[in-house]
Amino acid sequence: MTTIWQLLSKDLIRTWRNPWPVLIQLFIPIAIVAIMGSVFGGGGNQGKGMGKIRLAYVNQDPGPVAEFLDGFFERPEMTEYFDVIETDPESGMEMLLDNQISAVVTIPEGWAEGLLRGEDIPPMDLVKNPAQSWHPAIVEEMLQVLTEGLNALIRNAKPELTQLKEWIEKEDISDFEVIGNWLADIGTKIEAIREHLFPPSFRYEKGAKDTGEASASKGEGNTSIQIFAYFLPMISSMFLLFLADLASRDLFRESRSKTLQRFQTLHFGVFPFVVSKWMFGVALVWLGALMLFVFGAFIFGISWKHPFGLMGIALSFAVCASGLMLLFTALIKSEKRSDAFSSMFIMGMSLLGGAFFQAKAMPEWIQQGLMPWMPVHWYIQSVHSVEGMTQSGMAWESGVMRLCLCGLLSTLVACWVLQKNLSRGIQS
Amino acid sequence: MMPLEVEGLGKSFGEVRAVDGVRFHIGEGEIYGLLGPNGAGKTTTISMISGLLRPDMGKVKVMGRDFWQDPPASQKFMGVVPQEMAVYEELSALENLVYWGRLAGVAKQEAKSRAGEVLSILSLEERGRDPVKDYSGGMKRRVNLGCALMHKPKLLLLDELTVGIDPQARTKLLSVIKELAEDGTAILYTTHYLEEAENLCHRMGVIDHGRLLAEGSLDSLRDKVASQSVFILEGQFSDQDPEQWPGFEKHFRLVRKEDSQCVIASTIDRDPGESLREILAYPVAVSNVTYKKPSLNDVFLHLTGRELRE
Repeated sequence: MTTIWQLLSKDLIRTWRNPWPVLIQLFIPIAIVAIMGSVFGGGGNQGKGMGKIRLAYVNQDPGPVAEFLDGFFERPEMTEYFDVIETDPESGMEMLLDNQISAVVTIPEGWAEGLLRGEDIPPMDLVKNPAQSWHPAIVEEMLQVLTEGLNALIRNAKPELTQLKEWIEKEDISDFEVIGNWLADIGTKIEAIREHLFPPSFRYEKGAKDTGEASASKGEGNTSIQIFAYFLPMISSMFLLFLADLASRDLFRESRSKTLQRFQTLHFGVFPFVVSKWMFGVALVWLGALMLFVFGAFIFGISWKHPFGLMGIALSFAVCASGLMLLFTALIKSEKRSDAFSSMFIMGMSLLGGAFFQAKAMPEWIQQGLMPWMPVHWYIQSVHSVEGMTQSGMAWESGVMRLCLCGLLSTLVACWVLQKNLSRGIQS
Repeated sequence: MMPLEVEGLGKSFGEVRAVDGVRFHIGEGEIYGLLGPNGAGKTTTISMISGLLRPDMGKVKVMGRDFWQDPPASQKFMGVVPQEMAVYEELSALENLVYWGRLAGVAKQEAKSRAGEVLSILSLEERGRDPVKDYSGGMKRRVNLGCALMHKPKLLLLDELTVGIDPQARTKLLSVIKELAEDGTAILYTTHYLEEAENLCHRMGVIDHGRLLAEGSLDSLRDKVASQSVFILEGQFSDQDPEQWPGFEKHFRLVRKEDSQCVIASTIDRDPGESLREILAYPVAVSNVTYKKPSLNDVFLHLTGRELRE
């Protein structure tokens, strides 16, 4: 153990004195997540993830029902997520072209009347900002939900709506008792479909249940979309593998400079040397993962719900990544081959593990056949699971166990292969 | 007890016989030079002695004990200095020495004091705390040597110790080696520099194609080619084939031929004047002839048919 500690401390001192390769590997995922965050809708906004969505609302049908929509957009549930600007069509398009807003929603003339009649409703018009990808999609979904809600209202309260239309057209509303009863009836029916009328709560809950890949976190005072928290473990997993590769490739450097051979001429086998490199990789990857989580919290305003759980998952991933890359190094045998194939290996494993795309976006055969075997997938699923970003994925405890087991097994096999190679005289 | 005995050592890599039946020994305080061109089998031999490679045949005995019966026990007596700078450039000389000393089994406190001694032996006390990456080539070589001295080995294996360093640094290193030998350390030394071997080694072996061709002191090796004279001819040889000259192959051997120079060696024991007369009778215009007594290089040429640095 003393020998392993001496070997490990030597590597840590060397890294401390020349930290640039490690720092670069840590900087890249943070930069990529920041860029992705900007592309998908802007900065952190103090833990709100994507910030408010700005949209223009053009009402060309100034009837009483359309006024109901004005009120809908002014409700606190909406203003928490949307910044709605009521404007005319020209100004709306101008703002859209200036990239000031994510979409323009237009209520056409005759919309209210059609709605009250329950038929021939002219469609609402949505113009999405092509320069943005995420926010306009949310507006579109919000409109879909609103439409569904109103359709539900029409189906459930068609007689009441027809009655309302008649009263509006009569312009003589004097029977207040009837009106009171009508309001009570319509109120009861609206209450029944209330949740359908406020897309934010409805939409996120539905997403979590149906797909298992929610893009929001719920509860504990933070109901906003934590997009950075969602993407950070995905993107960072690949760079953590590169960090593990950096550590394991030290074996080649030691072989090239003959320090490994000098070590072998002392009275040890290669086992302590390989174990020390594995531990070096674990330390480097774990430290890297923790730094990414901490930087993520500071830079993007992510509030991690289970920091200790994350630390455990990061450690298990470090165990696995370091072992895997050590095994790769042992099997690939030469530094030149490693130069050629390590990036391919890491990127392939990351792609198949869901580091670039959400699991559900992958083809079925990858989702079913390959992804469940990918350590990157176990890691991402574990982080999402412990942070409550998914409900149907793998439990984080199971992910941690798989990662540890895979890491330890890989390290043992790597030790055996390296011992065999070195006794045959294979060097870098 | 003999620090090192090598008996019929052999190693093949696939079809290639890298070392074939090498046999020599090194006594206490003796410096043994292993001479051979690149690919001759020197490093493979050292690798088998130091435990990096397991031999296919033969035995290595360190301090009278069969190395491969208990490698760790034998390795404790050994210090190995590879040809490459096997040190960590980010660490200081002191840190490198302590690190390698600790791995060699020296206790923590002892390692620190021993590192100070070694730095003093190598004249590196003043720069001992600087990172090795800031050192000159010669200083790095000294650190490379120092790392093998930390546990006071009885047998030191030095592979091309002085490659690529300036004459001053080389002189310093060689004086350290001599002092170590005077203190009783047995040293196996491989080098390309024949003058180094001539000055430093008590005995030497010439190895080529994995075989030990000759072994002994410098004088005994010279005796092997004492009968041979070497002639350096100057002239135009670009369209000449000396081996086609009448009677050439009976009395001479072609060592090397260039456009303006041709080196030939007499293969029979006779008066150099007679050889010179024969050379001048050959159908070629020779502008100058230099006669040379055999050196270690000539010994090498005689044994291997090529120069050491080829």
